[in-house]
Amino acid sequence: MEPSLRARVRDGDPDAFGELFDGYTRAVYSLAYRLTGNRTEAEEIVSLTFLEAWRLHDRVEPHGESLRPWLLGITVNVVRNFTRAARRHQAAMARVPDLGVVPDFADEVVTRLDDAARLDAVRAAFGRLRTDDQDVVALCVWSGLDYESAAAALGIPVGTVRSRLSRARRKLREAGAGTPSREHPASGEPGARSGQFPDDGRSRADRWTQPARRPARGGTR
Amino acid sequence: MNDSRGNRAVMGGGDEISELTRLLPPPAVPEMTARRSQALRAHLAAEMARERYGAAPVGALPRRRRRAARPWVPALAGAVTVAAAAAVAVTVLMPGAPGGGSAVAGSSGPAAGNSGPAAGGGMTAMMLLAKVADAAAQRPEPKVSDSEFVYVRSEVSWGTPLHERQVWVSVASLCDPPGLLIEHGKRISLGNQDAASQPTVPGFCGGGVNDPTYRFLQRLPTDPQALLNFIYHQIRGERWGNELAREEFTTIGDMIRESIVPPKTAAGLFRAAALIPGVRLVGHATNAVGRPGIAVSFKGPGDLSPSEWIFDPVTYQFIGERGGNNSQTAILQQGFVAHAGQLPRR
Repeated sequence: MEPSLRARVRDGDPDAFGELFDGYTRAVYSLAYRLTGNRTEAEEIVSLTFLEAWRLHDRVEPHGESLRPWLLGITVNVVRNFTRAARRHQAAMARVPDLGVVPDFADEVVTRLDDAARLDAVRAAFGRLRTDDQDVVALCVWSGLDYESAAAALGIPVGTVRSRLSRARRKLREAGAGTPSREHPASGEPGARSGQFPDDGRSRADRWTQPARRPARGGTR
Repeated sequence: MNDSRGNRAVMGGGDEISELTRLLPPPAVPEMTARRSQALRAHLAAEMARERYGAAPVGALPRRRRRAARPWVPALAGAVTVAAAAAVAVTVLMPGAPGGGSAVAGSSGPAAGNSGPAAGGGMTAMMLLAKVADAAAQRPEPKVSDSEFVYVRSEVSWGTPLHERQVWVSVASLCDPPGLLIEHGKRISLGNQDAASQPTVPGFCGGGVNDPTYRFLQRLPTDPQALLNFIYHQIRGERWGNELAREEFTTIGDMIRESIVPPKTAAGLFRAAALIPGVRLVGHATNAVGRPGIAVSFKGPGDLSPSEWIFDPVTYQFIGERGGNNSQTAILQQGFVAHAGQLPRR
């Protein structure tokens, strides 16, 4: 009787997008933050993701379970095509209220030096993956999508999801990921500012990964 | 639900995800504060609303003549007006009204406009509508049974001589029991026969946005944006851009014209009206019987004159409307009664 959230989203019902926002902002924001390493950018990506979802609402498949994979797929696309998405929604983004500077995540999230070192190591390892592989890893490993959902979200065959994950795993094993990286010894040393990445003059986002809008690839390489 | 496990078993040799999770544990994510989240949500809602007011798509349908809501209710020329705020169980009597009587509208005597805040000084339409909404929200919710009738007495002119109009409509139905209209000395039954002359619309008898019953109004969402969305759906595919804004103003007007609006609904409707682009403040206005008030107006594309909803400057009750072709009304009394034709006590 009651149309499903999916049907209402497909129908472009603004109320449905309110529900979508309430239900999935956290998931979208987490993915965006993990892909960019920057809170301000992650918030912009949240806005752009929902604006894109609104724009693309009639492309939602009529049948299916949760809309979460669909939204996360849009999130990845926004991250990777940030410039294009931002240009498309330039006027709308200009109207995002100015909420002030986001405090440095490191002060709040990373409280212990070994956490910082570990986080840094994860970031470093993640940053060495190919962008394509990063997307699949972020969706399947961090956001918990199954292979099929990730495939649908990214518009690639399931087999491709699997092969990218395999490649990522190989690469991470070889690099000995999962332990603090030697590439950033400073971050783990006494005296280093708690939770800060070494100041190498790059933005945080560059240290973490390299969304397509960044000219350089390879982040922490 | 999370099928990744199953898929992994099928697809990956070994537990790939587990190993990847160990190799690359998910970085902790800071919480977005509620304030930031709310702000982004509000921004999204505003952008969606804005898009609805955007330029008409190529091939947009020409504006259709709006169907007279209740066939027996002449819409004010041009765009419509509203009626509403005074959702009070007791009667609302304006002094000096023909046949007038007793009770004074609202609490603080709103008699022939003396008092009242300096209308207009620094006030905007949004501010006025906010005050009107707040005042409406504070009125007590009347207890009403389905067998009762909404009674509204007004003085109206549609470019014609001013005359009295009394209408009774069942709380729950436009059809049964039938309502009653007394105008120009004639008693006209409003009920089944009128329904029969309507296009067959499921649920017609329960009321709609253009011809609400009290129960219909009670069921409406009270969130302003949700109300606009609801209206948008009701008129979907027919209006764009400024046409849509006018339709929204008009539709809200229809809902409050000859109605008693439940307090929460009234508050929502006026807050919704505040979101419609192009609504302006009219610092000084008078209703059809000369009672001064403060108004909001809307002038749609092609309208020769704006439509105004006039409010008492002290109680913020709706006291009448004004539109094109010298149309004007004054709400004189409203209340719930047991039978059609019966007058409210007092």
